[in-house]
Amino acid sequence: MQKKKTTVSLELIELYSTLLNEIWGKVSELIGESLLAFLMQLTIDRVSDKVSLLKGIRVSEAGISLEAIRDQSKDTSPEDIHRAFQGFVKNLFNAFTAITENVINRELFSTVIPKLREAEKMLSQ
Amino acid sequence: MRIVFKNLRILWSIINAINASAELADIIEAAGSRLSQLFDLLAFSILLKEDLDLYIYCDESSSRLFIDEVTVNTIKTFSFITGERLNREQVNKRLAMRRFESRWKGTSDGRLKSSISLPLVNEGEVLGCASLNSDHPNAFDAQALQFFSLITYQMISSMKHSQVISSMKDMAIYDTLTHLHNRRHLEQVLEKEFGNSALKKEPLSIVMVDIDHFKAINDRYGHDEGDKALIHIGSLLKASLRKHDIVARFGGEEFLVVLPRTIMKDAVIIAERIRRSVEVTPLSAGDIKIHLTVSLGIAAIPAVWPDSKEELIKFADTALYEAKDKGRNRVCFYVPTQDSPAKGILSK
Repeated sequence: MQKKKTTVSLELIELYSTLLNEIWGKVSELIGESLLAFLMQLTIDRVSDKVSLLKGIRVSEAGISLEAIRDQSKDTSPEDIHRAFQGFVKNLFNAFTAITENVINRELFSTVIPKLREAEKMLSQ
Repeated sequence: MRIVFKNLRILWSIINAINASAELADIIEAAGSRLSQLFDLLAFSILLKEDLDLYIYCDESSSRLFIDEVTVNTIKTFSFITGERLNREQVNKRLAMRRFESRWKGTSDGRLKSSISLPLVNEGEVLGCASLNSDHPNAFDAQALQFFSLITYQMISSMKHSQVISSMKDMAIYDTLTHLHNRRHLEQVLEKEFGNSALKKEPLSIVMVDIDHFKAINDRYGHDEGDKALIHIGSLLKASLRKHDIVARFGGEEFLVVLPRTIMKDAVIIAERIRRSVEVTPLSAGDIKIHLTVSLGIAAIPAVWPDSKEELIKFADTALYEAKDKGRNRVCFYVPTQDSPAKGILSK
């Protein structure tokens, strides 16, 4: 049972890693890597006080990495991982909305919604 | 395709105009006066963190209500980016009305309907934020955002360049310790004022100021307190002068004040004000108070007719030595006589 939970946690991290890198690819085309790295870091700083797991997200102008979080995954339940990343994505969308209304988010819905559904499906299995 | 090329051409012309601007105000003007060629906007706004200056370039048809909404929206975005709560009373609003090209074919009630904003960030440091504002909904799409981000990147780069130039200019004219002008700059100013005085037959006074027993302060309290004494005297000098007077650190513990269009009588009043201000305002060094005094020497045109600014400085220096010689903490002025080059005024 424990082994299965760890596997799901790792799969969830993999899924969110893919999702965040897809967001990175689409948004950096619109506003550039430097500005996107700033907005991502701003979001991490604001949410990681409540969700310490997110402190492990590494952002630079080269992209986004969840390597540090992978190491912590065996001690964190899949539900907590999903909740943490769902919250992060929500806050990131809020940041995009605050500055560009729906211009960025419109470009992301088709990528983000299926991935969130996939994550929920993984949890329910 | 033709429209895309046209827009790219406009984009490059805006970026080139920003790139060619060296001063901050010119960078903002270059963007503010051109962005309507590329975007469907009624106002461009930019709020800068350093002095909280809010520039709004808007179409001349903009209503007061629209400008208010742009102000509030820009401040709100800035607060989101920086995490600093701001209200409209804290910003310095600078409004520029322009005639913008309009691409909007529909009707409008003149209210703010859509806006996109981008943070101005350089190496993680927030410089401010810039916004495009429109009176119709969904005025900006993904391509508008791409173009606007390229423009803001150029603005950031030009603003940083302008800051570097500005700080280099400051270093060239200001004394790094006291933040007063330095000797080199003062000599340039004095050269100009001396020329004006000779040409227009206008009075000109200078005051040489020297801290009494400065070496003893350094020896007794250390060089850090000595530096604080220089800063302290510098700020008292600035506070004692009029708007058009110029003061500089002349070297060591000496300062020189240039009083344009000022006769000897008025120069004596100003010098005495400086002397008194230093005498009654001790320097706080931890728990103790260090009482400082200064000696001052004045040279004034037309009381004297020097051949050069160097000679004018020499006369002020002679008067300063007279003040030191007579017991310090006093003001002396230079009056050429046959047997004594300077005459002292006992000002205590």
